[in-house]
Amino acid sequence: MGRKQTRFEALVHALSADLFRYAVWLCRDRSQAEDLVQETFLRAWRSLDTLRDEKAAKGWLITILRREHARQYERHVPIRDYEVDPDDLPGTGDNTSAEAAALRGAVANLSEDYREPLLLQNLGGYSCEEIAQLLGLSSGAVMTRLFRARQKLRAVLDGDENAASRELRI
Amino acid sequence: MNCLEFHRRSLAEPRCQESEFLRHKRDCTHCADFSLGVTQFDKSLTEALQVEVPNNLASRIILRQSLDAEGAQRTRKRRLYAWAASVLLALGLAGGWFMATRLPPVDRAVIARISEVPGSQVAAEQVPYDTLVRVLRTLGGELSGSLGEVSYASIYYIQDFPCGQLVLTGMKGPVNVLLMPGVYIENRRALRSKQWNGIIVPTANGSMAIVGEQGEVLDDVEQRVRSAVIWRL
Ligand SMILES: [Zn+2]
Repeated sequence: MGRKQTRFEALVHALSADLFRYAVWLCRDRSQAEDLVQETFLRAWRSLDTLRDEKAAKGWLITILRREHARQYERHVPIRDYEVDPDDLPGTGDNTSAEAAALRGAVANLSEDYREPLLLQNLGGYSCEEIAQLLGLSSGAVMTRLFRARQKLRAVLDGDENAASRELRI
Repeated sequence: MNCLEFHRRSLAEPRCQESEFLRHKRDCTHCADFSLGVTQFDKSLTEALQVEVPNNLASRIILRQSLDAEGAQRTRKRRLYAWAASVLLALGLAGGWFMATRLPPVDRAVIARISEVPGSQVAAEQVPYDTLVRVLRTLGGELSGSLGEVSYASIYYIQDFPCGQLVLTGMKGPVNVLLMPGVYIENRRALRSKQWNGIIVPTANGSMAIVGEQGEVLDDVEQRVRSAVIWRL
């Protein structure tokens, strides 16, 4: 097996699961997510020589995945941003509680601007600065989005859209 | 940092470790409670975001990539390599020396591959029929019978041409079958290794290696593959 192939397969084994989790929440659909991850790795294979440092691989793959997602999204322009029914969301691990279901629904229905930084922080373990770099935003903008995303989620769970903002008026 | 700033920061970065943030949390009971609430909420969020990953995701990605890498150019190249391989192997094996050439001796390649992806370590799940058909087709083979339980199927490369690795179920456990179209050998022979019991045998379009645990009945597996796969020449 060639060196490039070995390197590629190591990346696939190490990072495909992480990328898939991210893609599921980005696409809000499992089969679309798998296609996206497949396409991402195919592109990664073709430009593997441009990846200098293995430590940067995850961020590099996320960048490819986001670009590919944007491309596909452009191709099948959705008529409107649809509301996702929490019951349609991918089956998850052990947590089948009502709270978890409500949270999944709330995350899926966040706008992409809010959802992505939250996924990168929560699933990817990235810091605000790293997220800012990946998304091409200032870290202040990332903080604002993360803050609003959590505010929204908490409000949805409390069954009160205004709860979080009220709570802040102390 | 005042309480409002603390709340904003806490929601943006629940695990913030900045000294100002930590100091405020220590000094303000109300904010400490708030922070605790956010951290707990975030833990539930992380749990809710967990997604089951398909078992064969990695092998499917690698299969798709290897199919992509396969092109018209490769077919032309493959003929050349096949010819070069047969000559070099004949020389190398007959002369008993290690070749410092592009193509490693078959035995070395087989042992390297199996050490890298041992059959016992791959997922114990059935490979979907479609995947199996695609893997074989890449190698110039058609599935025309049953291989029994197949728990792994992927394409890999020796130098520049595709080979296949299947993991079948034998009497003693998993059996690795490496399909190597274009790698021609003269006669069947045993593969020497302390850990494994293996053979390399000629096929219609190259060779195949079958490697199992010590004491495995390799002839049965060989017959199974021979009757289930038809090779295009
Ligand atoms: Zn305070």
